[in-house]
Amino acid sequence: MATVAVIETTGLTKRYGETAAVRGLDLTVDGGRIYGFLGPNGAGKTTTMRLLTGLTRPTSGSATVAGVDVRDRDQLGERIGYAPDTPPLYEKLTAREQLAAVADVRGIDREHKRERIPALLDRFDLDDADEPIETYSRGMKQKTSVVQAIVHEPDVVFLDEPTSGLDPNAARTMKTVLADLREAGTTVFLSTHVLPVVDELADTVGLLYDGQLLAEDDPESLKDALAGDSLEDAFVELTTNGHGATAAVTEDTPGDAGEGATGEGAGDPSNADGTPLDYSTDR
Amino acid sequence: MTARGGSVRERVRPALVASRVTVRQLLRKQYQSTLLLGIIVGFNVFLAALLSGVAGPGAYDLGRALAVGDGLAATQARDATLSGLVLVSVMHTLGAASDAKYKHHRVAFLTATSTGAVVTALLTRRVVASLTLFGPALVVAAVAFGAGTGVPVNALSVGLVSLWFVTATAVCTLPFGLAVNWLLAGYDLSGNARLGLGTVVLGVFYLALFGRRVIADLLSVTPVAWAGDLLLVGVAGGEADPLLAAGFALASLVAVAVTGASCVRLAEAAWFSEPGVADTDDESDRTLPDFGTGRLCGVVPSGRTAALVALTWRRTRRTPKVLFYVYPSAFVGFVMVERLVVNGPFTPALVPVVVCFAGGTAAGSAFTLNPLGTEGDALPTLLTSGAGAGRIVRAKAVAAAIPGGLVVVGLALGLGVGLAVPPAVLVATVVYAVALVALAGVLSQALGVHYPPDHEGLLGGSVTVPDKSASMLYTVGMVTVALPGFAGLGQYALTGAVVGPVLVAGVGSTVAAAVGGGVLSYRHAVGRLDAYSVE
Repeated sequence: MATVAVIETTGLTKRYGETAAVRGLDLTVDGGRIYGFLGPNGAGKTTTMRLLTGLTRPTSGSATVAGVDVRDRDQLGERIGYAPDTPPLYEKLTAREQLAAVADVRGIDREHKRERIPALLDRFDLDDADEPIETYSRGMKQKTSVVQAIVHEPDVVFLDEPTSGLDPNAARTMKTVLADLREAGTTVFLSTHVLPVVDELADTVGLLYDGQLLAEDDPESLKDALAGDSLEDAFVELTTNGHGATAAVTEDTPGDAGEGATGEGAGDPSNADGTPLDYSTDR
Repeated sequence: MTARGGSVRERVRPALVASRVTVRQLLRKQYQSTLLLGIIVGFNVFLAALLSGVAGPGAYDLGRALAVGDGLAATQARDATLSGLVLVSVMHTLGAASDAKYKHHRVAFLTATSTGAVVTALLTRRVVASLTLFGPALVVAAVAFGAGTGVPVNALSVGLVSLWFVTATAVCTLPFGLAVNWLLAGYDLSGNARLGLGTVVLGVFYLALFGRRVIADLLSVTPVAWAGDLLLVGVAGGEADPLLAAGFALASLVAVAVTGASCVRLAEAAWFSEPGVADTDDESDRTLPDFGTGRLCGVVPSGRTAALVALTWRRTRRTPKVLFYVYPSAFVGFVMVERLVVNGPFTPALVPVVVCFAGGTAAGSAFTLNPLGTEGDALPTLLTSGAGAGRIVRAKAVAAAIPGGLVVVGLALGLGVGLAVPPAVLVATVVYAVALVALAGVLSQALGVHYPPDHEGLLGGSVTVPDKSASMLYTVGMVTVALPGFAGLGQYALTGAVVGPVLVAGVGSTVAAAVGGGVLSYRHAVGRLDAYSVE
């Protein structure tokens, strides 16, 4: 079955002065998939998500999400949902008020809103939906944030650490919801440090390192390629000994292992043409 | 010796480190922000011109008068000293109340070192910030004074003493700020209570600003008046008593030491207090979720715009501190009336005109002076909602204009009818009010979008109030547009005769400027919001 790419970036770059947070990112994510977006702290994951959600303007390169240029924030907003790592909520409102307000601002039909919000609140066990958000625990806020991101049934939903602060029951609910979203044809762009979640759910895993896509494959292939038992092993091997591992699997890899990626091109862990390393092929 | 010396050094070192880091942060913040730097330089230039005598009588003229033996000059210098002390003290107190709340800014230090070291850093930061804000202007004024007296050393003594006054007031006012924050932290006051408290503080500031002469007169019979002796000690003709000067110097040194020590105790109380039980205001908020927004939203055409308006109003009801800057604008109206009554010319017919100006300005000072900042953590929600920059700007303007317009037009109309103002003037007054209210909502946003959303809040929380400089710039813009109409309507108020051309030209100019300025402001705000990038 042919799949359609819903996220496409070409040479996407974001610079802050001399520092490049995202460097020439070429990414393609097919529709109706869960894309696990991994990377160590400071790799540029959050910046990438902000670029893809239109919150941050790219320095150069291009990106489309659901066919909309990310520079067109208004059109983009109609097609996406975003739950950043800091829950973007109005603390003085209750969860029910917050969701209703966002639904209204998004122009959701009143009847649909009346059905969908209670259903989502129930699904996520948001029992305190009529209490002010400022009284919520981190997990409660996280759940409210995710519900807010999917209330309008977007084509693509971007989730930054959605399981952060959730208890095991809530985390399980979240995983089920993500799987259900995929079943319904929604593309989920998932950034997290909780690797078992990605291992369990993601169809494709992309590993960002120093603003570039270091590796991209399905979880099993990635593990096989690096002879690891888990995604965690693969992550550690790639990000700790990234340059050495890179050199071991491809001769195309430029850079000097061990010198660190302090400048553009130095210790560059990707292929010479900037494309991510395809371990399954190389092996 | 070495052990004891080492011990002292170990005790002092954390305070030095914390101070160095804190001051470096402050200076870096000022240096890296063109806006902040511009405001500081602009304020100093303005103050220096005011104090030195470039703009009207100032330090140079005082110096000259003293040099020629003008007996009144010494009294004027003392009055000016006391007035300045009062103003700077109130400003410092206000700043302390807003700054001391930010315990989380100091958490890293508080968990690593003593409260005393952190308080030292906080005091050092306050002193450096004050000297940055006032220091250059005071030095220029001191030089002008020295030049006026013809004795260069006077510039040195007056300059040093002035800087000491700024330093001492910066230190001695911190306890008030900490005490306020101890109250807030200890009793977890509701937003409404905090707003009330903030309003009182701001009211005190304006009373001090406009009643500084009265306060100075009251203080002139207290030892605080010895500050004038210290400032003028050694200046020929200054009539300073060296004994009183020394007394003030010593007393201020002791005050600095004592308040520094008391700050540690107060800081411990304020920063480590467990929040008490919240008062019932927030609970009642939950039972009043609509705030009548449903009815008012009926006049807003688009459903999505109406939703944004309703959201703004609901949040304002729950977080009334975002209305904080409404009060200064409203207070400007009171002060205008007070000045007109005291100094003239004044007739009751001027009151509706003042209401239009002050009310219109106040309407734009609510939630539109920092449209990004008032969103708090929820800013990404708004920006990725697909609502569009135009709709967001329109919604905020409408949210300000509907209640503001109702109040201002209602008051102006009621006062006008009550004062039996002729129909033509009444119509002109209403047109004037509508024009100013309409402009206010977009002009404030055009300025507000230039401020980063993380501007330091006044009373804490994730929602920030507008920056003080935004309020100032906005008021200047509103005054510029309002002046012709004020003159046109004022002509009737003062003479009692309607001169059609004057009325039409005055109010017409304001309306034209409001329309033109409004369109430009709207476009600018939308463009800026559209291009906004979370960095």
